[in-house]
Amino acid sequence: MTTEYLILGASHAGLAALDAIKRFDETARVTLATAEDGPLYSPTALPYLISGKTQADQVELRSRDAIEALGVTFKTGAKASGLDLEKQRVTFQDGSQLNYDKLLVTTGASATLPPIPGLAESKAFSIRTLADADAIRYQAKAAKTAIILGAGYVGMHAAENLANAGLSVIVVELCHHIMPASFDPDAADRIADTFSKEGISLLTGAEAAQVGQDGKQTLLFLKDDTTLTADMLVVAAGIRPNTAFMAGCELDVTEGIPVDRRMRTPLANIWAAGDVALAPDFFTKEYALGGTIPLASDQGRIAGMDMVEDDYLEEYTGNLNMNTFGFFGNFAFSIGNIAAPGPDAQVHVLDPGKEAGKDDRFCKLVVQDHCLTGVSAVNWPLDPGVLREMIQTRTDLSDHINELLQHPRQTARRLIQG
Amino acid sequence: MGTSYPTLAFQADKCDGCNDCITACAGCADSDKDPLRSRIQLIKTGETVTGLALCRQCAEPECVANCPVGALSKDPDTGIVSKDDTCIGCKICTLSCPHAGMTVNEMDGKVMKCELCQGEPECVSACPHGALTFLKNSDIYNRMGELEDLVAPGISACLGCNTELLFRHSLRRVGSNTVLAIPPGCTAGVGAVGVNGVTATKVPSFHPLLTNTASMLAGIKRYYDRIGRDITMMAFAGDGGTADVGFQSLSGAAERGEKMIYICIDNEGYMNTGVQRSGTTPYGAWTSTTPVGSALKGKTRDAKYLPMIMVMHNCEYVATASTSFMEDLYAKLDKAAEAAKKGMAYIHVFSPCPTGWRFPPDQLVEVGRRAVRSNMVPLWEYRDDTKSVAFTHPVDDPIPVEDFLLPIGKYKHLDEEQLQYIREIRDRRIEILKNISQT
Repeated sequence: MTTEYLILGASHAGLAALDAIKRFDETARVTLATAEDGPLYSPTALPYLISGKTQADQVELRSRDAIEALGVTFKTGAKASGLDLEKQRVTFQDGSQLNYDKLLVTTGASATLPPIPGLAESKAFSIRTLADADAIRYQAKAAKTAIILGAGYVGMHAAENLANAGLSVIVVELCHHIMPASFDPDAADRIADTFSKEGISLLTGAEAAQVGQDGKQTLLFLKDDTTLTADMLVVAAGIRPNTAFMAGCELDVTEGIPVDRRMRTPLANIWAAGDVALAPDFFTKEYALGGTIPLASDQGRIAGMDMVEDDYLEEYTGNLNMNTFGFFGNFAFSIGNIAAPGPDAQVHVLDPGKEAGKDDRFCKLVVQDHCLTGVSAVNWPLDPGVLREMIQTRTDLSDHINELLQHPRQTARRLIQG
Repeated sequence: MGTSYPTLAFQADKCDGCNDCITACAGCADSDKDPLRSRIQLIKTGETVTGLALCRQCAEPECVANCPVGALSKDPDTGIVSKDDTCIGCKICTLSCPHAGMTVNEMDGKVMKCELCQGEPECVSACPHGALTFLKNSDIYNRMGELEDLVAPGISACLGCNTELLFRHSLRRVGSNTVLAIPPGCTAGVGAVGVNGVTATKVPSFHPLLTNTASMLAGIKRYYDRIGRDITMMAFAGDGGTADVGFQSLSGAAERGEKMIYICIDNEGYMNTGVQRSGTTPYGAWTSTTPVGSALKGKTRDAKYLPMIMVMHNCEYVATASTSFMEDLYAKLDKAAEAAKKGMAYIHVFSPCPTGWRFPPDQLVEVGRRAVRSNMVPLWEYRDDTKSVAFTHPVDDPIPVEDFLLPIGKYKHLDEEQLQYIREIRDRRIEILKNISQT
């Protein structure tokens, strides 16, 4: 009997799984079903669409032709609405059904609104879909002021884009520094300085109490009794995994679908990967959503390999924070446990030197048990992928710490080569 | 079958850090040749260059999988990973690459990567030390992969056997319109002539006596000629079946100009019967009948150099070959197949034997390389149409003979006196060949 593979979702995780399955067995019978009915795209491209740096017809992840060339049944506009574990069958919103022998769920996540009174009823924008990006772009043409709720990657990207479009922008963040999930306060301060110099107001440690509407104006009331007014409100305060179609399962999947290091869920013949999957953390082993493209691709590939029983599979090493962030011509990145290094970790901030034009550089390395566990940098010429490899392979730095601090790029390249 | 691609290879020990490759690469990007624009960078330990920071054109590139706008792709025909102008500059690809092959250009803030100059890398031409080379051996692999393998998978050869390598590839090249003669020897021993009536080849093969391979093949060829069928006759015989007991029938067939390709797999002894010496066992080699002890130190006589003897038979074509130089071998098989339409084509293949010579099986190809590079096994061909001998892989600056000999078990006992004698044998042979090739 031929195994029927069904992949729900066709973004990075779904496509990586498809490639892994087809690489192992080009005759495998695979159906790829996506809720999208237009070209496939990644939410990461959206800020660049809002800024006009790219156009909707240039962000296609992979064409229908390229997918069908793999010998795959490609079903678009197919949003899953139900799952029958007994019959191994997925039901879609249009009433159609597909049976599977092995199912991979890569349905991703949607933007979520924090529980702030009045927010759900307001005209706030999210940034998760092409339609969201279009709406924000359209609104920005008429607006003069904007409030961004949430100073993570998406929020900060949006702030830059709207400021570049000529709007006066205020960013409101609950934590005491911007980009708290990815950057340490020192690096975040460097980034915040640039935003401030560009005229963007950053309100950190500010908690929203209520959202109101006054004609076309949106009002944001803060807990400290400040009231902010703007022509548009953009909410970038988190995501929620798309698991509603699995409501009938006994497993609680509202926070995500738990997976092991082979991306297997507790449910028979079902795998999950990408923004919908709760996978163990690289350091703490605690289960969380990965939330970045490299992790989604990695998980998808592993899921696909496990589904076809490819012996070359290497188990998932765990979710690891990793992000790149370009802003106003600068480049920052962070990898690993940089936001909250443990008490016995050594934190090294590199000396930028006195060279003219290079004094705005910043680099912090976190070392624990003779291994690199985290790095954050702004405008420092480094190879993020090489440092990521050092962290993930736990390269022994016992004899190389000083060298690494003196010549981080050369030393890292040398330790990872071969 | 998967496709193989050309590769940029780097030999760090030949690099003196002159940076010419970096200047050349930067020059492709901008006339200012600023090294910051170079997509190839040297990795140094102190002052010594130990590696390259460079795109590896990965088979399953993570950068491609992680690009959020599909701006990166791997060309299935060339294997080159390239970036198109839909790049949004998110730099997630720099996180994906552990080889420092995706870097941010400090001049303009954009991501840059090596795209192998679309097949003609400037850095390779610029390198004055031969440290960078562009290996196109994959062309052979792809070309040969298209041809049918006419030998069954899983024949019972020893680990690392050169005979299997030669047998499989020669048959692939010469094609299925062939009848094979395989006398007693290793090729028969690995199952090529069959077990219980089933042969290991997809073409007719038969098992003559050790003494009559060439004469039986001659008879079969004459029969096919008579009924008007153009079939290639090919023999795979060992050095015993060729140079010793099989020689009278071979010599007779060559004298008569019988039409066939005769391949001698010279593993320098009777390997499948227990490693006895043969007429082609070289001076100084240990075999079970030329032992090494307090008095004897391996074979006391030099090998007979059969390929030159065959030249003197007025063969249509005579060549020496090695499986360590496949492209050379393939070219010679083509010429042999053509020559065999008119008369005898003889190929003498140097065939190291891990089992009988005592070296690790994974060293087979390296042993063959060193034999050629030390001039112990010169590669040449004789063509009757031009009446000339020509070196096909001339070695002007040979490596020392001991670099070839001493890692091999059957030579490890050699003393300096013996090594000197071997050098003299080698030099004499090369001198004769050079003299002939010049006339």
